[in-house]
Amino acid sequence: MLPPGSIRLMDVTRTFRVYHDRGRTLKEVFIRRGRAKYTERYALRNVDLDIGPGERVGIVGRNGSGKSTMLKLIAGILPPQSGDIEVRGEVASMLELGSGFHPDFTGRENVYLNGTIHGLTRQQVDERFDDIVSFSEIPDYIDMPVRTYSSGMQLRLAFAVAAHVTPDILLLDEILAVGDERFQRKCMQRIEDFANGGGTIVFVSHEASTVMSICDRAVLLDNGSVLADGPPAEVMPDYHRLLSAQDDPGYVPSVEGVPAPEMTPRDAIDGVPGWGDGRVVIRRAWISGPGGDEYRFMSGEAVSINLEIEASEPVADEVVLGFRVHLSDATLIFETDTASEGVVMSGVDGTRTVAFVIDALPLHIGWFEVSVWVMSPGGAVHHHVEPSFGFHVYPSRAGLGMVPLAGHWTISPVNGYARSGAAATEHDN
Amino acid sequence: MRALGGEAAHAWPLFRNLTIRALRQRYKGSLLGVLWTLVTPLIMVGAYWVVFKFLFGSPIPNYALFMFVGMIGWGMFFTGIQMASGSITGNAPLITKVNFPREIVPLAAVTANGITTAVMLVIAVPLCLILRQGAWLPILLMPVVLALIFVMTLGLGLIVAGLNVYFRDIEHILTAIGLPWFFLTPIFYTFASVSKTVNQEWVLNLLHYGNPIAPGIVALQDALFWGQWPAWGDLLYTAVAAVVLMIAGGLSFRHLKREMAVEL
Repeated sequence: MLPPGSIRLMDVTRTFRVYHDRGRTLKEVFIRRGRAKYTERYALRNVDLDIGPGERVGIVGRNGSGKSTMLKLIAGILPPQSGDIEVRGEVASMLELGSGFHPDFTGRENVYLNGTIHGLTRQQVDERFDDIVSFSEIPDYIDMPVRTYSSGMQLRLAFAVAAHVTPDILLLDEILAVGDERFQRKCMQRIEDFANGGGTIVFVSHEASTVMSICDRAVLLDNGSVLADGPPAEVMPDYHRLLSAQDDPGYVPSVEGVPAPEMTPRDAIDGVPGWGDGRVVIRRAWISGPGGDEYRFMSGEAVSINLEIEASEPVADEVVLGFRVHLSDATLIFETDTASEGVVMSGVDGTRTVAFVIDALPLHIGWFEVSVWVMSPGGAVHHHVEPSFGFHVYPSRAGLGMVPLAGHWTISPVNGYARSGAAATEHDN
Repeated sequence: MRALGGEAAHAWPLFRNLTIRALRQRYKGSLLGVLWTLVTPLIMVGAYWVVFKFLFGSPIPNYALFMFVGMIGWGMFFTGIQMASGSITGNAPLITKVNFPREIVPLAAVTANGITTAVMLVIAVPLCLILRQGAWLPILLMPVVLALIFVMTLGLGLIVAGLNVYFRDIEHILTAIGLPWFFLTPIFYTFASVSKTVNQEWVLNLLHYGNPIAPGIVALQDALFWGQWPAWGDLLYTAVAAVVLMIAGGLSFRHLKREMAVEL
């Protein structure tokens, strides 16, 4: 027997029929009996998963990977086609906040209705009513019909009710975007408290940062199967990889100077997109790291940005090579060129490779793009590719955001002597 | 397989709240509120009185009250089934997002309708006692008859609520058969009063026992309006129908509820 708060999925399979032309009326059912066309699609395929009491599990995956289905199976809303699901303890599912709210009823009435939907008794709602209302921060409106509420107020009230259900297992489906930032923090705090009290959390999200901050375990689903299962810091890079493979096919290092798909070249020079007078052409631009030519790096790795340029007719004048690292919305991270760093490239004949070597990549998490160019010192553009390629950076330490600030915490003890915390992580080398 | 113990313990408050919601939803925002439960049948009774008493000269005494009593039974039965048929589809967000015993939804719909219909008794019972045709003692059986009709309605309600998820036609079919079914049910006539025009007994028997609600309504009229003990046949028929339909409803709903969240 599993202890309360545990979930076990054994070889669980759930399929859906995707009807090409769905007949929902009797007429259609009778007319095309036996020839209703559908394809069986696997939402979950032979999934085994063991979740113990007190675990905080984040389920991540692309759209349609089976995340929500898994949550519904655990919640008991859907039955599996085969396999067994064992869930021990009280389950509260917050798959959608405010489902069951009736617009014509007052906040008070809806609290009672929603509370009982979530399995509370009337007395339990009575006892928790004041807490619920004060948590929702809308005491002045509690006796007004919910239809007069703003959507934010409705969500607050809904979350407040859900937050006062005390289950062994809490199922959450991407519903933390409640209200303003302060209220969101309060919700997160509530979830933290629940977890610290020994509750099991299963949480579906697209948001890597939320999973990183809430969960101590991440399960990556793809096409209904578990691809990876482990600490979020280990699983999330796989998730990002999956996303990048889906979202930007071909957005890989520009082996032949392949541009980003959204780029609109004014011109193509010798088959290489970009624009300029073409006296010097960037044949290849790519980024390489310890593992060779790649586009995924860990923060702090040694990488180099490489440019292979070619002049079919010898160019005697000085040329300037430059690059710019930016976000996909063109927010500039860093830009430099040879001239401004005092590096002189006088003349190109044939093919040359130039590299900008970075000892330790000072980026933390994200997708970064690189634009490259070659021009004359006077500003005549020979070839400009924007953007030329992109790369992912995955974190090598705790924290969120684009740039890791190297540093550490110190906590001043009672006697006044500062003591260094152990959270420091060195990033220069 | 799943922790069901908790579900049953929490079913009652949810049932209660959903019933209240269904009740209030029905008349919320209207001026007359629950009075509509009385106004609508009274208007119908008025119209039928003009047609069947005034134009066709029905021999039934206190004809308006007679029809009103029949409509209590009919309203509890048919309107209840109609309310149940759309109850699951109407609560789709709840069904697809929260796990709770789904039976509660149609049961609450039928119960809410039963309560509103029972309001009609406030008028019918005193009038029947004042203008009574027979003894007053048989009125004691009225709650039993109504309870049996109620259980029948629950059973059929579960069947149509489940089916309607898969075939949305059920609601339309019910609307279509509502009026003919109403006319084939002895609400504004008695089988005795039409026996002269219909002299083939098998036709009358078919109308009487081929219609699951007819014996119940006849029994209700006997107990409440005529002041006579309902026939054993009518009572037994209704009791058996209630049990059979309830079992059929429970079983079919249990089968149909599994995939409900997928279909909605």
